[in-house]
Amino acid sequence: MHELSIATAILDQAREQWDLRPGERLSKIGLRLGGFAGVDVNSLTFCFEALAKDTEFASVTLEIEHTAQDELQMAFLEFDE
Amino acid sequence: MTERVPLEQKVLSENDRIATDLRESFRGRRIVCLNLISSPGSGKTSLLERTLARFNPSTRVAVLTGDIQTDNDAARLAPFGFPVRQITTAGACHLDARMIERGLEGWSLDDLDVLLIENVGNLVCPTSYDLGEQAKIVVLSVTEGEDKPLKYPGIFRKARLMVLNKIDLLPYVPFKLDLARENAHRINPDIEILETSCSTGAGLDEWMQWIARQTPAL
Repeated sequence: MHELSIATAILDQAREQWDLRPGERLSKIGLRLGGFAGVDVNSLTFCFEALAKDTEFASVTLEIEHTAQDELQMAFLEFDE
Repeated sequence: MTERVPLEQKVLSENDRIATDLRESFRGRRIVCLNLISSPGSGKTSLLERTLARFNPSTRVAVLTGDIQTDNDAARLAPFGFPVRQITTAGACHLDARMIERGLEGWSLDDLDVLLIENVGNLVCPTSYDLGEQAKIVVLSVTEGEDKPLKYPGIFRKARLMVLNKIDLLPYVPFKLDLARENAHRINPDIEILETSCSTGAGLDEWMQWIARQTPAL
């Protein structure tokens, strides 16, 4: 249920970085998600797509690497110049 | 051309930043802050009622209680004479650090020894949000399943204490106490376990002693 606030935090952090790179297009967000983070992937993906739709980030891919422990980490961003 | 930029920051870094500030603020004033998490109906509010009734009136206790709707819990906890404030999340399934920061507004932290936080009834979402607490406590009642630690490992890993509540009902339910303990220890070998009944008062002295042992880290 809290996947909506997590998706919002992901997009907020991505936007902060995107704002520093005028003229570039954000194409991918890399996320590391631990099995104990308590985050449902399907729900997160759904929320992410719903929030990104109709914004500059509508075509951004969310790439999720599944790990152990409870991490919930923004790993990388990919920009197209 | 695509450029990959390493970021390596926590998704909930904004929450964690506020939680760190709160924790510093609690530490500096030697306040013990406990975050109670359970599924709905496990007895968090009942446990807090019994707890407030047992605190020495000279102990300076305050309660923040979170719910999606209603201020029923705050109404139940108010008669004990300690400051209680309801945080209504209006749909959100968890408390976050900013809600705690706002909930504390107007209270003088210098006049506080213990801050009890009753999270929204939910075993999943509150797990992800650091509230600046000294310890998370998971309440599991015997009318739930003894496999809850295996089904919801996140909170049982992060909790310092598991309170097994409603033990007065054990004769009437197929709950296996030993198996519940074993499952909790499989997920978190260090978790402490207390057994309580808010109806009979069993285990509540031990619970109060446990709270008293949580001296704030310097």
